[in-house]
Amino acid sequence: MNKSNADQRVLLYDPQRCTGCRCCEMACAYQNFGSLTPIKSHIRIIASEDGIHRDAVYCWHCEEPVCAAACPVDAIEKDERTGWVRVNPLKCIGCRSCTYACPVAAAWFDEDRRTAAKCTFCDGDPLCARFCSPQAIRVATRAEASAALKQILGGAASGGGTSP
Amino acid sequence: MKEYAVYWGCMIPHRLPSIEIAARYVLEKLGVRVREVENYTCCPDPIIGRFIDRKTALTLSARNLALAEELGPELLVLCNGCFETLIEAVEALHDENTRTEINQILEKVGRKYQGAIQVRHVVEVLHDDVGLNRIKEVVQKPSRVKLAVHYGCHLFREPNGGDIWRKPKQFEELLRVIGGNPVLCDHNRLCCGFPTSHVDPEYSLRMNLLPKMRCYKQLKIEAVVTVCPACTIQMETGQRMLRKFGLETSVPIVHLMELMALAFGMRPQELSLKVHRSPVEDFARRVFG
Repeated sequence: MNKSNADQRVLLYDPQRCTGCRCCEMACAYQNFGSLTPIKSHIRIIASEDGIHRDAVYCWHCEEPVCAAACPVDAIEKDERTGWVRVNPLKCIGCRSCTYACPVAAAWFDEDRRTAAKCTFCDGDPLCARFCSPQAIRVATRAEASAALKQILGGAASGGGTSP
Repeated sequence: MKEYAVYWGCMIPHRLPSIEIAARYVLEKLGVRVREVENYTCCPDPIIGRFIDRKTALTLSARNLALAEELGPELLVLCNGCFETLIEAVEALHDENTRTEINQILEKVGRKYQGAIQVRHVVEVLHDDVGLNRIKEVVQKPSRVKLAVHYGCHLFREPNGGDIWRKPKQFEELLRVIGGNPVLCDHNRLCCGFPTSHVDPEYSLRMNLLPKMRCYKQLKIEAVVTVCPACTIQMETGQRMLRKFGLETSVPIVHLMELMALAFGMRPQELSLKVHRSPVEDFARRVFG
């Protein structure tokens, strides 16, 4: 991981702090789609049936984004300066390749717009993190997020370019 | 004892006035003097209100804070939602540019927020300022019942990356000192589902209240204690709606202030507990007579 990648600001989720209120999902959906329904969120909280165990599906804005590599029309680009990986909906042809390629299933297909959708990092101030009362979601550097996730996931988060 | 400006919010005076009756009794018994914030508006709503129009939300909060500021340096709140909104507004208004922008709007109604107020949740005021020893002296009827502690998500809000478990732990200690027996289980942390109930009530019940109440039924909990009127209402009305998922429960949902007032000797009939939609009145008569 080179220095600019290590310093990139990404999201970090800690399941031990999450209360499952889904305010992150509502904030994200409202910010990006003007709708409060959690279905429209780029971050998704998943929970076990007994409600105790939770995890979040969210974009890691990878060093070498697989979603961008899989896109046949270059509709997904990683910003060189900020490191954010974004979909250009005007270029997207709705083939869903990115949704299958993403190792954490963060890219999803928006049935209403008929295009791929994913986290935009809210231009640097992610609303999911701002509205999270127990600070289960926060903004961290990639180096910090990577170390924290390795601790949570063990070896599973150690894979090359897609690591957080 | 210190004096605080007190902000009751909307839910407590309008939907669960028993909490206000109880809180006034508890604060008086403990010698906590309060001055009423008058002509206040909604805090506003910590979730939807703040998503939809940040500037309007911040202006409403700043107006409430400006009213409180005239009464003293510390503002006491008894609702998790009000706490979240107001403490976040205080943080946002620390920024001088934001404060100037909001104050320009407030100027039209003759108000100005100086940025000198500290928002305090009732849990931390009782724990840190009043102290457990003082509370212990006032307890007349220790409840000795098996209680579930519902913290409520916004109680975890800690400015500047502080320990999110500080206030929830204080809440548990307060329950122990009034003689309660709080049961610690993983479901205590789980949200009541109030935020998503505005958008999709079925989803909210299935994901939050159903696993929570199923656990409490299994543990034979006698009452759930909250520190938030919104959580109280959600858990009371939600229990009835859970019947469609095949779960029949009728657990009393009681606010910490009500439980403290009862433990301090207030009689159940003085508390207007009929406003509750769960059997709080039966619980209070059975445990506190």
